[in-house]
Amino acid sequence: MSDKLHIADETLHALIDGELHEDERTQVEAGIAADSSLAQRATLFRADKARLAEVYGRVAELPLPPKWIEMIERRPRTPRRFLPVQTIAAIAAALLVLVGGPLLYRQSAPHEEPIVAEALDARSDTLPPREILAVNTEAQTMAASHTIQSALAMKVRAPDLSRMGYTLVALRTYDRVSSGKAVELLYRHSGNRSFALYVRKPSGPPRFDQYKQGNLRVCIWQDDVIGTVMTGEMSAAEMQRLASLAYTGLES
Amino acid sequence: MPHTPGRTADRGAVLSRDTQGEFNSALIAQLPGLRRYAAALAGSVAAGDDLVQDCLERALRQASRLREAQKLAPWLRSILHNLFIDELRRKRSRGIEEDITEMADEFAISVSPVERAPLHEFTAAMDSMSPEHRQILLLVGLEGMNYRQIADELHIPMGTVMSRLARARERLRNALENGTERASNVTPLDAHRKLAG
Repeated sequence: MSDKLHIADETLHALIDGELHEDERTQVEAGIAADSSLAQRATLFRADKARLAEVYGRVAELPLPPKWIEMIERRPRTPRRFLPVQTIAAIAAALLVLVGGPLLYRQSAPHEEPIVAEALDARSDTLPPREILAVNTEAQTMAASHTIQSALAMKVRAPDLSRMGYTLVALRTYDRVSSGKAVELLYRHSGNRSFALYVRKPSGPPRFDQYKQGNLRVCIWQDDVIGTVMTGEMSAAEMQRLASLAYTGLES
Repeated sequence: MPHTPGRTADRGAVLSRDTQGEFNSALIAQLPGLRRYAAALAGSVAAGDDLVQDCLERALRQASRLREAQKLAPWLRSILHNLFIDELRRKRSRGIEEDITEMADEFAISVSPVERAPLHEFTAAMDSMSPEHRQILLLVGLEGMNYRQIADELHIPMGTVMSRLARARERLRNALENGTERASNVTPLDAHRKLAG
């Protein structure tokens, strides 16, 4: 009679997916260590899981079709149901504009959100960096990814924007910003145009915005985990494609 | 059951729908992940993009039905999955067969020729899975969701998530080892052990 521990298929997969408590995990791992065929199965299942993410994960790095963004932004505004509330809000807004208009503008305009203000300061060298790393080789690009991970304590990497003709040329780290730490990745196009990607923890709710400030196109894209601000002198369409490539390319 | 979802799984999980602008921003932020999920479900980027396009149209029409902003991602996946099943039914009723080799080529664009054969085998094996099995494999392996989140999203008990996932992985493994034709005749691992024992 075999003294091997019987491990149900479901338990084996729960181990692979990190779904077991510590004590149960230790017990199952010991059972697998004592059964070479089971250990081999576990290795194969783990490899299949990793392969799945590797094969299909690339799709998220493709630039988004612009027609999807247009479709969303074209959506007609839905009428509000509660008119009295709307009326009250309109009166309050009018009062605010009259009394505290300039203050309200400072707080709500996209470029005044902390992350955007910091990104613009970084781009104009007003924000002093803690460290500047020049990137000229593949090894330095990899080192840049390590620096970003370590600075932000997130699993991110320097996006590859070569598909759009942009090469990473420098990385700057900052430690005197409201979120604690931030990084700025500077990319250069063969036509000598630059693209800056400022990354840190988000400074507000998830959002996607793009606007023009002087000659500079600014795009803010943040979720609940990461905040990015992208700046460059380019068209809205080019920024849209670059932003999509950069945002998804941050995935490590 | 500890679980640390990846950044992708978290993306857009906390959303506010106070304004239409925020809803639009949240929707756009979901697109890369939704596109990836759709391509994997449908078996090709082109077919996946068609699904996302239809999904977006439906989501924008039915936006007022989404009561909880945190459920945007599951809501979109649910619409997309229903559209996928509808499309499968339509194809079956018309007797349309997909060219799996052509589909696999789309995912092989950025890999070396040496890597292409195993990649073809993998995508072919995935395409041989039932939609239900494909779905659970993707929710765990691609979306990085934990079992509780999947149970909530699919409205099934945790035990069903676990058994369905075990069967799906076993079938995928069998398809990879023996080819897609024999994948449906797989014997579960537990049964192997009973026979051997």
